[in-house]
Amino acid sequence: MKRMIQSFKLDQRGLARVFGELEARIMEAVWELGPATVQDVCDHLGPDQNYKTVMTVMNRLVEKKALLRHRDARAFIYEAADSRDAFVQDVSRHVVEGLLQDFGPAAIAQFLAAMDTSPESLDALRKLIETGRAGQEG
Amino acid sequence: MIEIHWRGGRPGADGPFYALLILGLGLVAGLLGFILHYSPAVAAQAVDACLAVSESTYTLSTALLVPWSFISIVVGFALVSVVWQLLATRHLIGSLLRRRVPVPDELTSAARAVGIEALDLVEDKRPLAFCYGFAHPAVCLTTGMLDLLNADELRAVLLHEAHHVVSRDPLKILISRALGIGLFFLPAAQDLRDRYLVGKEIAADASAARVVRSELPLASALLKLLSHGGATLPSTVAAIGAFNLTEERIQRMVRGAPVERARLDGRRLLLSGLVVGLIYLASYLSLAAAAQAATSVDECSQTTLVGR
Ligand SMILES: [Zn+2]
Repeated sequence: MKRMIQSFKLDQRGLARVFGELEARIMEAVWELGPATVQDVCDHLGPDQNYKTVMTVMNRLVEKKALLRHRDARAFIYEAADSRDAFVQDVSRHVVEGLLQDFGPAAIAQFLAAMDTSPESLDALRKLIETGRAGQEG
Repeated sequence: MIEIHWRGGRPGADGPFYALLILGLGLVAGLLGFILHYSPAVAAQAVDACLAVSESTYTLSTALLVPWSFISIVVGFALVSVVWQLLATRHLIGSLLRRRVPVPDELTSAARAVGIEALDLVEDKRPLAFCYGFAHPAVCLTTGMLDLLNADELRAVLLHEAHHVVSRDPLKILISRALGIGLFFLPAAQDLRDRYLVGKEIAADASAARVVRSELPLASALLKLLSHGGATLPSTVAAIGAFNLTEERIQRMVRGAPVERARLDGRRLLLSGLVVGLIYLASYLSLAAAAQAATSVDECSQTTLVGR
């Protein structure tokens, strides 16, 4: 999900904010059709769609983890990774959190607020736990 | 290097926070004092009937502009920061609490046992635990955190968060960040804020370790979270530049040293002192000069009256 919305376009509306225009139309088609082949999606989109283009974009969506692909007896079947609602909710959550990250922090006290550790510290922590456990057992 | 000592222990190492608060309030109160001290001259001048009055009114209101603008900058920036943090907090907490799930009884009693009355459990794969809320702080856990930790580790994390609840750290974070922004021209203010933000975590760790009489559960909880990766919310430590928060905590655990002192860089302290001195000097000079002008206008009006 994180990868999927790396480029967030504030000037666009709806799903076009996270997808390219054709990507958004393909996602809408798959959500509507359910599990579908490239041909199904092509037919759904209208007569002037280039099969090859649609296939390329759909494979890109698989890479972005927005679509799942599996092999049927005859062809590849594509399926949305998330329901439309779950997807939109997840996107808006990440967008809110992304905005917070950019513009300002919330006033909360987090148990682990920063992942800023060196490998040496991690080793030291590991050692502390090992020797501590040994001490408890002995 | 100058060392500042403060009391550790319960409810927390809040020395830097209160030092920052006094610094901010003191600076604003001092400037207000200046204005009040010289305002009789302003008042005298307002009722003045002398012919030269219009020119010196200009001088006086300009003179008041100097301390007033310093006050407005500090208070204005701090308020903007408060408003922004409140909005950011509301958004974040709102988006998480939408996925709130019922708290299992064992978890409720585990939280009560360490003094946490208000606990939220949120359906989220990321392992998170945090304390939020200003008047009555509450603790929020995610299901991801429950899945990751064993009972001892969870208790240590709850104890750590309970410390934040007792010392009302969300409110102190709000104020210290606002003051850090309002006093952006004072390096010492930034240092105090950072020192507080780091110090409160170390104090919460120490408090948890004291109760369970071991650093172990806390250390292994921390290690699990660090190995898990990507388990933080939009940063609560965006302000911290000079400190490496998690590293400091680990060093404290490993060395087992009590946290009783922090260092303020002498040069940054000196620079801050100079800036404060300059602000007061500029305010004093402009006010005193204008008050002098007002007095002479006053005399002028008296002679005018006598002359009639
Ligand atoms: Zn904490």
